[in-house]
Amino acid sequence: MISEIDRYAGLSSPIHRWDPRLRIVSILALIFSVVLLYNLTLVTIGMIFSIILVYLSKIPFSFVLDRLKLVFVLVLPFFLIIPFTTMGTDTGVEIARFYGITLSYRGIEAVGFAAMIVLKALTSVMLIFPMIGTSRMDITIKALEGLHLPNKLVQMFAFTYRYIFVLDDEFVRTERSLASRGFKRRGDLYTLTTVSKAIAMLFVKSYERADRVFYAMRSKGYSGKVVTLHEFDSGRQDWINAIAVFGFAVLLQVAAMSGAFSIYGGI
Amino acid sequence: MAAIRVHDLNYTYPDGTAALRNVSFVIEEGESVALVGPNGAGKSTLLLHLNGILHSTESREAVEILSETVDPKKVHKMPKKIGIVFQNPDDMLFMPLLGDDVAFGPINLGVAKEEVKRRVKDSLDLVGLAGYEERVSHHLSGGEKKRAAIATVLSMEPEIIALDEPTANLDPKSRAELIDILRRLKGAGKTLIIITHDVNAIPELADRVIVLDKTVVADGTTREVFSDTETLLAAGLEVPTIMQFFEVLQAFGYPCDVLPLSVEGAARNLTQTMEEGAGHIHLHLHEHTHREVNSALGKYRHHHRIAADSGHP
Repeated sequence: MISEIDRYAGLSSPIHRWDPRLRIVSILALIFSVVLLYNLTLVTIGMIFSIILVYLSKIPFSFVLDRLKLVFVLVLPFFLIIPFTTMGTDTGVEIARFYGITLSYRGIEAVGFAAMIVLKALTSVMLIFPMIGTSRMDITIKALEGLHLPNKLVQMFAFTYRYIFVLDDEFVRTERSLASRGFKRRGDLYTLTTVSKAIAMLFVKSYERADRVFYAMRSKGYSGKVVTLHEFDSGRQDWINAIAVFGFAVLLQVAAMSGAFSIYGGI
Repeated sequence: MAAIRVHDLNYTYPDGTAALRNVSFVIEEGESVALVGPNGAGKSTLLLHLNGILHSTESREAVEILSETVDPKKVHKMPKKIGIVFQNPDDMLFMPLLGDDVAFGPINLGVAKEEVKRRVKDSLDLVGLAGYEERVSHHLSGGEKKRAAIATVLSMEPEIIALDEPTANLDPKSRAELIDILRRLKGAGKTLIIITHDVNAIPELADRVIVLDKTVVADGTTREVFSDTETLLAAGLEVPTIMQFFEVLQAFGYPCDVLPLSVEGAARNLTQTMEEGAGHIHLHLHEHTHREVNSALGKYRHHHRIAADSGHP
């Protein structure tokens, strides 16, 4: 089964109680702010702030870490690639050279750069949990609608969320049906062709389902726009939260521009 | 006034297969009609013509709903008149929450917010899903989904409700609940057109049966159509089990001119016969009885073509 990001939406925490519209905008601003930083110290500060947000949201760290693992595996190669690909011409000092790969002092400095990229990636993914993991997906979708995101985009988001589980179920059924007729996954061409055919059938079925869903929507008066009924209201506390998080995002950028905490200068 | 008037409707699938040929019938307001026919007979295709989702250039003005020709360009205005409940509820419940699904139709029709809320509540109440507004439709049971799909149509308050196999794939309790909902709609004066293979449910739901096999092969009261065994068998259909059973009883000498169609009808019939026979029913076993029983049994039996073709003795 596809694991649901909103599994912990039922908890009660200051982040959960925060108006989803303000929460999404504020945390999104923080994500952008962290991603745009080019300063390891500031990124680290951003990360600590993000950890605090996750802590406040009461989403178990094990749940977050489990998902961060994948991101970590994806960005880990930077640690290996960056130090060996940074040219040493600037300082001219070369420590070692093997088979055309050079290691320079500049390259060792670049480990810090690699660390920054890794931290940025982890921080931005981590922030997604307090951002959308703290309310049910349908509320998040309504919040996007409430933020006046283009309606087509909201519809795409809503339908993806609604049908991804249906498709997953359908694929599980196909797999069971294959298994019950003696199919076993191996590393051979037969497995590959069989699985690709099953996936192709899934596409065909989805296409037909899309047709039927569209018919159903038209039968219910759909003429291009989806509107739902939901009232959000934001009180004083919602705005205080927003100012705190948004303010922190701005502060990071101001600090970066002022040149404080700047260790590597140009990097 | 005629609720549905279909005149000489033809439809060919994009691949060239003829789906509907010269289909014509009229359904009056308040009528409750079962639409039966074998698989692939074009029943669902016909349903989609009723609000203009499907349409063909060859029969442009073939469908009239409440005395107005169905215009394929105005499909979004049709739900006020006719609501269609699709066969697979997963196709109908496409919003994040059930409440949104039920509100979807009325919002599209421009109904005011407070009124939408009232309709959502009333529709869910009516199908026995009161308080399900905040439920995620993906997590409902099969029976709940079927009822939920009906609620999403009821909230548009259409005059006519068309349902595609409402009782299919349901457990006996869910099936009974669904039949109950349909009977209540019928009682409330809605015009119903119900596609079904569930012949045992038809006597409870419909006053009239239309047999469709690409074209209308039979159209009459439930009793008339069920009495025409040959046509039904030719279309690959059958009659209610209770009717078959009473035909067997007739072979044993049970006096019965009009075969009952439902269990309730059977109970009435038996009571009446016993009252007339001073508290008794006389059945007998003569030489010719076996022949008659076999003939009654054989009447409704479809040919076992698969077994015959497989070459086994």
